Amino acid sequence: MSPDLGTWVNAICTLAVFTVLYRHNPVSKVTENLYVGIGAGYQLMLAYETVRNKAWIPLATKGEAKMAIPIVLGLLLFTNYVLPKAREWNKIAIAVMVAAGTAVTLKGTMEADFLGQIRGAISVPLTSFDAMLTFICTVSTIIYFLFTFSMKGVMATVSRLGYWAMMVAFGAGFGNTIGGRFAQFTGRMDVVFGEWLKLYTR
Amino acid sequence: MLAKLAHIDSRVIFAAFFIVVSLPLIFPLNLPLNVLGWTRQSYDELQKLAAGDLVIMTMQYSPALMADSHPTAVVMMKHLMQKNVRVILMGDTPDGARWATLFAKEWEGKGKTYGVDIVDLGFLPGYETGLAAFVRDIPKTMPRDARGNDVGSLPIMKGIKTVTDVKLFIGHESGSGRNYVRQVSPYKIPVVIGCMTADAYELEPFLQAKQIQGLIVGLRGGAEYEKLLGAPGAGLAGNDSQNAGHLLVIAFVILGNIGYLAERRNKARQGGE
Repeated sequence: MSPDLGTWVNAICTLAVFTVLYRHNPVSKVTENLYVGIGAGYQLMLAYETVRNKAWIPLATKGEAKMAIPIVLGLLLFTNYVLPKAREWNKIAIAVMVAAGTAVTLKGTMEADFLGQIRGAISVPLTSFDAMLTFICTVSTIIYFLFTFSMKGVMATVSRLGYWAMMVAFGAGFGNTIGGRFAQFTGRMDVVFGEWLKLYTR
Repeated sequence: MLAKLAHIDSRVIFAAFFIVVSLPLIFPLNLPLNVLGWTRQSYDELQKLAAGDLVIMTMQYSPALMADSHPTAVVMMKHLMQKNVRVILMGDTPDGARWATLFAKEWEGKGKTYGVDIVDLGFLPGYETGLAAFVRDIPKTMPRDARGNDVGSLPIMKGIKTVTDVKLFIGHESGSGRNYVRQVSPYKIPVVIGCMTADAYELEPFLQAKQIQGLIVGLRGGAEYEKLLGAPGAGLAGNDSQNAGHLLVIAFVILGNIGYLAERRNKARQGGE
């Protein structure tokens, strides 16, 4: 068995959390809360250091006055809790965050999700089965979302094909999600059997 | 009798998974592993790099997703270090920053010089907004590294202004891989993404449209990369377990459907009577 205290804590917490699979119990609950608490503590520490290093120190020691803006906006977020009379002020900070986030995302989305994808879809030569299948599925899925006229005859068939193309894509997505969960479970078992119990070495 | 298969106690399923996933870890099956095209593309992108080239590698994944994403980051870091490529490490989530620190410490302990071969810029706040600012002006967005050094004083950061000053951008995502496509790809530098298994189908279209140059998918992708590099690690070790688990899922899906059909037939018979 491992002589490392950290590995013991890691493995025991892993097993404690998995006891929830049998039924809810205090051991799994304590471990869950421990995990959330440690995570929150780590993020709080990181947030404090970020504000200190990136805003407060430049403002206080280098006289970068513009750094007062993010500090003030950050403080405004707390008015809801500490200054009930000025609770509406937190909306200013939220509005700035939402506006900046939306602007940055939209700018990138036009190229990444729209123009780039169209360019990619039309520039593939239809010389392989994969390329033809991709083309057919793309066109039929787009037709599925044409709501300006009712689907009849060939269009209805193509639209139905688009429906199935989407179902296959969703199925693949779900399958991948399951695969990812297995990877995580495998990692936990590796901690228990490999690192803690030392039943094997790599 | 068969109808009971539709109502297997979930605890029986959990126990079956526990056994089936754990046994191959202890008794490896050495199942064959095919290297997928997108992993090879990623590997080739790193192979193109020469000694002294500069790369940015950022991480998003939390410890909870470590088993799926970490093997890929580990083996890519190993590949970069073997090629004597200089690496700027960072995290664009609070959890991701922790991996950057660990990688910097690990490779510093293996003889690399901090500030010359590697640097840990720490946590980049602001998520996508922060990333957009970072790629436009790196020293201005992250003026200090995770150890508090002025980045201008570090040899590795000399002459670095925007993301176009590096040869490759590697992002290990955990749900926000599109951030890299939206904010980094427009700068026309190669982008390779290590993604969670669950996000593969969402990011694959970007690879096909050549908006990114490589994609490594989850634990399996890590295993494939380890095979290409000839450096077995956590990815290949977990491959057998993952495959065994997938076979069990397929078995339970078949059993569940047999149970469902049997139940439906029973109900139809009872209705007929």
